[in-house]
Amino acid sequence: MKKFIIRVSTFILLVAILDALFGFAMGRISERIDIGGTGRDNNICDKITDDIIVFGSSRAEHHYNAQMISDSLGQSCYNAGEDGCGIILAYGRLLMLLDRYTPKTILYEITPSFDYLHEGKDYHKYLYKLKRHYDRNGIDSIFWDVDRTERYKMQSGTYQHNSSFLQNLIVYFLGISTDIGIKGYRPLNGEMDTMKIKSGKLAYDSSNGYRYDPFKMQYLHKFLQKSEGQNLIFVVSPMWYEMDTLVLEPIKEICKEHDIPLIDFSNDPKYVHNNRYFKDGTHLNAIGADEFTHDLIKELRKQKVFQY
Amino acid sequence: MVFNSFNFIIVFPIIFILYYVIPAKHRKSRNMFLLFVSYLLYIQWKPTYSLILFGVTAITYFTALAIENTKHKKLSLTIGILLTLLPLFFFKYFNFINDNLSSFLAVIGLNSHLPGLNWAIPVGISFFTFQSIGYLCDVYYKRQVAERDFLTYALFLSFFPSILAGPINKASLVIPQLKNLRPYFDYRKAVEGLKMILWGMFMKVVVADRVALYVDTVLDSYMNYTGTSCMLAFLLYSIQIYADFAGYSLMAIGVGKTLGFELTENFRRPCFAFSVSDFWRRWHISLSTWLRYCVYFPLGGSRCSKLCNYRNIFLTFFVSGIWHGANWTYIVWGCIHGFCLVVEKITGQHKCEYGWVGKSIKIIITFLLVCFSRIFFRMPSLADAGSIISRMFDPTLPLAIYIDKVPNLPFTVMGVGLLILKDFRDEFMPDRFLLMNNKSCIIRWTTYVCVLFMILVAGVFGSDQFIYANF
Repeated sequence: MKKFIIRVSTFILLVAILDALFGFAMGRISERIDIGGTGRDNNICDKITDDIIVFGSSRAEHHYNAQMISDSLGQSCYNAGEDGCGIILAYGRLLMLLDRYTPKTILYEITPSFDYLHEGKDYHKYLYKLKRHYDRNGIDSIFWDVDRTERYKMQSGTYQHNSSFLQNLIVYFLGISTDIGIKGYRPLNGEMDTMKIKSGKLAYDSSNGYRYDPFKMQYLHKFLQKSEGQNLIFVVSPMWYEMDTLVLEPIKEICKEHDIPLIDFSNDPKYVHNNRYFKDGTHLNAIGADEFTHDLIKELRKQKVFQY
Repeated sequence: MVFNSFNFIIVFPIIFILYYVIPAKHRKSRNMFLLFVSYLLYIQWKPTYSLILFGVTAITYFTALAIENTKHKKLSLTIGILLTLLPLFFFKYFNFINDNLSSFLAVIGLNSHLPGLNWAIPVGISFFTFQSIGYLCDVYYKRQVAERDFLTYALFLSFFPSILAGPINKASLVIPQLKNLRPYFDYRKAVEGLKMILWGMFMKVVVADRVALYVDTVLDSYMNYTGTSCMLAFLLYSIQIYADFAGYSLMAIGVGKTLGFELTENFRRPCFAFSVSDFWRRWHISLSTWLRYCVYFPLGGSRCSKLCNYRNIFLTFFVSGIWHGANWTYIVWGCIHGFCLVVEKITGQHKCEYGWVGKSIKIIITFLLVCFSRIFFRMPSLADAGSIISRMFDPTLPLAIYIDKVPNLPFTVMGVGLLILKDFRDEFMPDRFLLMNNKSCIIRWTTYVCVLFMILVAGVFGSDQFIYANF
């Protein structure tokens, strides 16, 4: 038994040392990356000082042409949307931005499934992009809210770089990466992939009723609190599918309660079922994104939301 | 509590230390402690579930004694089995039977539908129900003496490493280990156990959960993907389900070993099976053994006419299908396997009397057959299964394959590659290229560290569910 305990303890110690060294090295490497997804993430968390910030999911990332917004409104804009993420990541990123400066305007693209609908209890996927920033002000508590064991897991340097280390090594040493985008905006080039759409389908279906997620709702309210004093605007960008607008009720209520503008392009006949503007059922292609950004700017001007 | 959860990593060393604090001579206290821990961990799922576990334990314990002590052995066995199956029936099959019966009655013009039961299925119910029925059959056929000590028997059924997803242990293997004086600590076994836990964890979080990211993306919305992507997803699904279930079993056996117990081997490199019959000697061995002893042999096995033998094989796999779930898809899956086994038996293909080329071809054919049957295993309904099959063989669709984005692709290739390489070595050259069992301490330790690092950097965390825990 004694031999067993000594050997197991030695093994744990050895792993702990290697883990700390690995975590340290990967931390330094990822900080220095300025291209690809990590570079974009570093930009958002450490560098940008733009007036207008776009938050949201892939629908934000691929729909809001930040350069066009900057040029049209005369205020700098950065697209901080992230594929597969919603309010939890957006809240974390907002905290990091507020540590450095306060943006004048926040455009938040609402994606109900990521922002307040119940999709099961696994929120870990939303933490992926925040792992490297765990030590920053307020970020650690997001991890503890999602899973209290993250407090212990995040002590491991290797775990902090779980799934991202290979990509970061390739980017750092070989310089191979995906496009960082134009001011964070990553257009989806190409035409509609008709195989990816189903005729007659609705985006969101209320036949079984909607289940709201109290955890995401809590973060939505936290986000509202933190963006107080800034010009917050909720936007729903176009979809190829018709959308059941009942799904937007919670956000409509929030907007009414807090006097926040909601600009809703879902079910806009210009876009619905219009293959020219889409890459798939939920994402605009580059042409559609430019058209939508143009329409959004017009709508923002019409609603006079930039008269601070 | 599943083995790849953070909680288990914290709790298990505590269980380990407390268990070994109890001197070996106090065998009963050690068993009491394990029983307490087993129930405590089981209660974590839902406290009321433990009542079902306890109920099944009590029923089968007294039934086994009754089988030994009465003249009406068959009647006792029948009543015991029916009572044991009752919770399984209500929790798992009631809604399925109710829905199908209602549909059938509607066809003949009768409208009758009982309200469905919206109950969550108790964790591991299929496993402990089958383990207890196996015990009753063993007592009935005099392969096992009825256990007198209730605590020993309760521990046999609730033993925490195997209650969630097996292996379905035979009483003749586990009960003697519980009753006999165990050595205080077996260093060799404990190290062996830790190695199994490590590799089992690798299989689960690096291979199964990583592959699942691709498989679930494609199969959950298969209409968005080409037939070739669906085919690739099913090939990968076979790897996923193997890594998931075999990984879990390996961890369960490893946990048992660190505490000094030997549990039933559950997998023996099924990807290298040269026939479907051979596949079932390598896949979920504890279930195959159970089916052989509790269904196939009582039906007459092979000691009957050829026709009866084929019927027995088919019925055995029909039961296997039902065991896996209350859905026609599982029944079809079981029937496909039963049909393949019968065909192999008729054509003599259950044996492999060819050279390595012939064997390799048979291995590939068997793997593809098993992958095909898993379409029914994976899809939620027969309509979906039919739809995806027609999509897979639709010549009008492009041949493009959806490629997963970085970082999934390199990690998937690495994980699956390493798993196949290890299984290949274990199967065809078991004495060469030893890593975890190498004589050199440096090679052994380097391997342990590398595997652990791969788990930490390439593992998918946050997915604490095992596929077979749903059965």
